[in-house]
Amino acid sequence: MSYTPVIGLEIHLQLATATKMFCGCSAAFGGGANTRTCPVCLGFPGALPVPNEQAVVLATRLALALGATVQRRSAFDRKSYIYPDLPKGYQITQQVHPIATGGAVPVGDRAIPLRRLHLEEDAGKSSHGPSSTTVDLNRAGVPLVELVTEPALRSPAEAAAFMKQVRRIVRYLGVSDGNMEQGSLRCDANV
Amino acid sequence: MGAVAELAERLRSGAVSSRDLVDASLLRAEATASLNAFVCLDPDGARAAAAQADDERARGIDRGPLHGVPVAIKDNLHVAGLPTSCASRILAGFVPRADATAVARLRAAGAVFIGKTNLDEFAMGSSTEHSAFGPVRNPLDEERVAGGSSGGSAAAVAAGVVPVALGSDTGGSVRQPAAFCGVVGLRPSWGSVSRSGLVAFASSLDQVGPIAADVDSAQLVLEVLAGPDPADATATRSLGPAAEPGRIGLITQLADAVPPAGRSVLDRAVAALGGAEPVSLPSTRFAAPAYYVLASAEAASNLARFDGVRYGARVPEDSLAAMIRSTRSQGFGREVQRRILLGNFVLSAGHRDAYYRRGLAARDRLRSEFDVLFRRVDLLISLTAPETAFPVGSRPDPVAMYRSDLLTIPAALAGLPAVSVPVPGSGLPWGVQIMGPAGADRSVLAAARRLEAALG
Repeated sequence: MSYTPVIGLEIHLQLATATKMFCGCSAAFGGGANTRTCPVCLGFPGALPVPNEQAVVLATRLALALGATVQRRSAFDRKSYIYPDLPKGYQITQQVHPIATGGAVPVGDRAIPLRRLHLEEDAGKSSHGPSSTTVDLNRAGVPLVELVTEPALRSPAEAAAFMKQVRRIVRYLGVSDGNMEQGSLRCDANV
Repeated sequence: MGAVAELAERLRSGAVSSRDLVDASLLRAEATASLNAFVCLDPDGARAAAAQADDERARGIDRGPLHGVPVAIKDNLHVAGLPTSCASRILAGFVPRADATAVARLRAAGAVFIGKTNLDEFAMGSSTEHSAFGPVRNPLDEERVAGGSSGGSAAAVAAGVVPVALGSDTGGSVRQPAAFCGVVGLRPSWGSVSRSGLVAFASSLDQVGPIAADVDSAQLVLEVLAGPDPADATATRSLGPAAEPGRIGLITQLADAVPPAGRSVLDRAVAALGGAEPVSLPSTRFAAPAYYVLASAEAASNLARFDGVRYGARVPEDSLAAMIRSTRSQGFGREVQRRILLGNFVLSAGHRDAYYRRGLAARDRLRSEFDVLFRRVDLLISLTAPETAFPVGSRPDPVAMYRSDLLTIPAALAGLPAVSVPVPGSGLPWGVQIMGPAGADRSVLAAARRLEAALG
């Protein structure tokens, strides 16, 4: 008896915006720890998120390029969890009304169908040492698009080809630099 | 301290200086210290700002309608350089660097801030007894509460410390204390005044609003506060034109919820406005339960950030989890902990559909009932609270306390503008509330002004 792998991917892409998803801090990689922060991305009391127009434009561009349906109504939700690199105690994401649904990524002679694309903010970065953990919130609030595929991939090789294709598309569109070392393109697989 | 416009005119004409006004205000605050209306006073900062206001005036500069006027700010709104405590131990040592937008606008219009006023911790309460700094007392009877959660602001205005103070209204926190203290309290339409720099309790309900001695002063301040703000994407509502009061509806369910003494006050107010037609808002019976579900849910989320990691108080422990647990257990008071627990319960996976989603559905239904009513009538009237100020320490039962907001919650859930006008009488004051459609703030105020004049 032989099994066919069924693989679905959740891809996080960092959008190529100058500033973060909900504040005016630089979204660039690196910088001295906690230097690219402000009351909004630090989760200070009284600070309010204001969506980054350019992030919406880039996510929409990607959605159109992938043949997804851009939604007339798109809204943000809070996903709650307690973690030191998540300053507000919740991540702002799109659960109920994502910016786009459907679409597909051509891989070889197949079209891998997408379930949805949504905007969200990245968390900060925890670095665990032998006796302590440090938190750098420069990345907190950096705009991401999450691409969720249907469970349509049939082999690890196809999944790898899919990732390469996505990287080529986002680079061509100027939506993201697709740099995996800096975490601009990340992937969770459900097998 | 009287009407803002009158003070501003006396300042403009040179009859009084800002220094004189601020000194009088600080003296009055000291003389009424037993009210516990203030969490902190800023005599040095206020005197310096007053001196600057006077100097500017001498040089012919007019900063606006509040030039040199002393104002107090509820301590859940940021004033740059002064601590924001939210009347909580958990924010100990937290000093914001920038003004809240509402505060910045008052400052730009020339206001001088004399201090921060006491409140129920994180604005959760109806009596200003749930404060880490102790209860606020009612200037009209110190054995009684000032109402809440903006009890310090209402008491400061009623005691003549300041002509106007800012409060915040989530379920009635501006209107109910204004009613208890015999002053005017305005909840603007949700989205007409920026919430940037207001520490969030329940974001979909919170609104900043003025408490003042009269309707004109409340409106003058609202006009300064309102308008779009790049720091608050939801500040998009206008105040609308000031239409002459037309047809007024009396919400029968709210009228029936008050005792006979209150009913006769309401009848007097209705008569003063030339009558009102009875209208029905059946979903009011879901309003208070829906409110306490939704507001607690949002509070649980908004207060998750107070973990002792980045600012405020920290109780040191060996592990991160223990530090967060101890900081939150010792930092938050009982009422706030109760709401966080309630909020997390109604949002939890197993109970979300039974509570949170039904709360949202009840709010939707209430909103559509209001929409239907506002096709028949222009404004709605009710009492502000089903009672007058109750004795300090007389409401240990939280659910009994929640009932004090019964009449203010419907407008809050629907995002409507609503103003409480005091009704003078022999005993403690009652408040009468005028509500209007979202974006009809000026019409609501026009009716309130007429009511105020008629009740004289």
